Amino acid sequence: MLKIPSVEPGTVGPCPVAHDALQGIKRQQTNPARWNGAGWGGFVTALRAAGVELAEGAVACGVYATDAGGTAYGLPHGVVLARNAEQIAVLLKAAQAHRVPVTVRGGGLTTEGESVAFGGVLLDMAGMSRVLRIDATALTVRTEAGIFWHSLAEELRRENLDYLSAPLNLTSSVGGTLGVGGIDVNSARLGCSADQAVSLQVVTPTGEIVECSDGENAELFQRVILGYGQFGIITEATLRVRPYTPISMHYYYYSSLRTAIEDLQMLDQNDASDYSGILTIMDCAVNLLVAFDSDQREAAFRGNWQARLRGHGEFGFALCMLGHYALRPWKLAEAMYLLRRKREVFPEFHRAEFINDGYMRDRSVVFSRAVWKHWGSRNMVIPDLATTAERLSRRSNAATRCAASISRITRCIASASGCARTIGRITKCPASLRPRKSGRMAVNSSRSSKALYTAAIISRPSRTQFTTSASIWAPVTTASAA
Amino acid sequence: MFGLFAKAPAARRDYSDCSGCSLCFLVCPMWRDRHDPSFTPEGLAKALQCGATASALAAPLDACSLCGACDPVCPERIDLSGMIMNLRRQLASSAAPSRPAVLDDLRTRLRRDIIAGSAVSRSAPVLLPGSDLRTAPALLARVQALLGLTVVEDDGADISLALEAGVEIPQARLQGFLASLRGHSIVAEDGLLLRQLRRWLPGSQRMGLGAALSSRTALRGKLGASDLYVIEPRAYHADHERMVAYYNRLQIETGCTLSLDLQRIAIPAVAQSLSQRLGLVPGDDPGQANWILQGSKATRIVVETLADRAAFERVSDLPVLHIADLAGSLK
Repeated sequence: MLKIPSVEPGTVGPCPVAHDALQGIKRQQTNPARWNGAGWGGFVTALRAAGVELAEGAVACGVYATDAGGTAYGLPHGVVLARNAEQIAVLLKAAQAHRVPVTVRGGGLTTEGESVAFGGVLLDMAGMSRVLRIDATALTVRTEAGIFWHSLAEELRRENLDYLSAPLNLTSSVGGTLGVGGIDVNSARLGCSADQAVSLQVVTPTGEIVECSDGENAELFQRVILGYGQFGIITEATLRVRPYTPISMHYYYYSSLRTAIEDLQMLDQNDASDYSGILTIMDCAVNLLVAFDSDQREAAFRGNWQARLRGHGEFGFALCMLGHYALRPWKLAEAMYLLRRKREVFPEFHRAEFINDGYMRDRSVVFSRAVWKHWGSRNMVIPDLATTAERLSRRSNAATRCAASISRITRCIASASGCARTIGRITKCPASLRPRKSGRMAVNSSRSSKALYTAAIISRPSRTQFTTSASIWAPVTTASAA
Repeated sequence: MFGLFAKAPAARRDYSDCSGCSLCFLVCPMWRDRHDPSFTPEGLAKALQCGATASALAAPLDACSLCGACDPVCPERIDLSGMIMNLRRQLASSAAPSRPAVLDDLRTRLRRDIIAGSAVSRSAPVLLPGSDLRTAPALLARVQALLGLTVVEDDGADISLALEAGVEIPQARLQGFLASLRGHSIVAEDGLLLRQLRRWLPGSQRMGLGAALSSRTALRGKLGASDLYVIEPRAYHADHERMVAYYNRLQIETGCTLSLDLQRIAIPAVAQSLSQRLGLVPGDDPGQANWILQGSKATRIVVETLADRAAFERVSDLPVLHIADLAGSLK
């Protein structure tokens, strides 16, 4: 069992998952050779004979040409929209028989092509996006696993319910997230997203449909949760939910990332807030967000912890920055960049339509909108994702420094929360897979400040590519996250 | 009321800027109905990036209801509705093997002489009632009385249909229509036409009928916490930045529930495909209206369009009122 070292409040401890995560990371080839198509014709015939719809051609496949990272490009030979577990079972059996690689895609929020098919068949789980039943008494929901967390939230909110925790990204999928963990700004309290899974329906690589939970097929359940898709495809999930509450949000501004992280740790380790997270624009402009589900919790925070935070209010931080750059006039461009980002980004967190009586209606909407708008795609700033590990480790720009810090945040949150449980599960996986599955590699290897940011506050699930446990044959099953 | 009038829009990008974030999925009625990425704005944009032609995209192009929900959520500010309308134009201008007769009729109407405008004094606010409202003369008279607007004879209903179907609008017809509107403040029932007027008459003042009516104190005061207020999506999304603020205030002041999702995007109660809009296939799918009603505790439904009123009357036993009907009897 993995031992999580205890961390003194106010310090940044060693990483409990992968001590060498920042040293000489082996980069994956983002555009592997396309599968040669041998056996495709027979596979298609078998699939169609079994009544499974398969679309081919550029129009059907084009939407899957890349993922959120936008660095790997590839097209499948054909696409199947997931409709039910039986259909997926047929597909996987045919794939085994004809040795056709299967790429599973949820929200496509991987960063380096893990949900991009380089030939073979792509199974789009988004076709299974229905909420099956909501039990408001037992506080559970049964849903198809291809559903986006935000779509699930839309349904739950009609019953005045909410999920426990999910990546703050509107288009990450439930199944993909359960396969990798998923961290919300309340994960320090409630655990990672996968912790809310009560039971799962899984189609194994050999095409068996299995219901599993802690009490039924427990070993499979523990493998599949954070199993990165190796042990089967999650088709349905029963999740714990909770009554919906709008949240009261506070922001504190720091000129030191380290100080902000230490304060974040202090809050989490003392259970001082319901939500906490960090947004950074640069190492010298950091935003610690703290939020509460109830006025009582907020009052307790104000009484016991607020004074211990070393961050500033918005006005105080502006004065601080003014003084900082007045003494460093040669950094005028940096100051102007920060000012511009402040003007662009800050209003997103205070939009009146998402605030009701001072309470934020939905944190995912507010932060996901802001992230996509201000850190997404064209805002990515590091152009050479295809860099070598050596060059990456040497890089000394702010983004890389931020990556190191944020990886620490991730483990801090993990060590202080129910994530420890799921990290424990990782250790049950084959040892050879462990270092790649820390969930931090995405952070470490990301090219962009956007992804770095996202990892801090959103920690979107990503990055998997491995053979299935059952696949002793050559074709690779790429299990995508999110 | 006229403080709500719109100003010129900012420039938007095109399909090549689509980065595949899938945010448009979350608000798209096609996606809700099919859960097929090919039937989404992103699916269309990505297919175009892969070299697809309009004819290869005919099915999703027909299925789109042009509700405009995808436009305000796109972080790349891609003009997704404009992209779809442009593709429909390409499709309509191609040599289709079987062209619906209804489109030929529309082309004929558009080529006719410019409709003579009624004598409306310069700068007087005008109402473009649209084809739906004209089918209900009593309601139209009530709307006219409430807003104190002059109804113009040429309300551009044929132009709106041409926009929707991708039929080319003769310049003479378009310029004649726009000339009759220059200098006027405009209230339009047709959200798609309103969207285009924003581009065609950038300096003009214009607003949707729903916002115009709900801004009247006499009507606004009749809304309460037990009401579900259903927003006409096209006009709302065409000017989302200001409309979201306007309806937010309406909700705070009246306590009513709005037909908005968590992203504050209006959920269309009716999401008709082009074929359904043209009457080529039947179209009364209750899915969208039922989705709006799911979990609702409202005891009355207030709508901005007659089409929405019909949709809710089909799926609900609750009283369904047009916003103009809230005023009671007008003496």
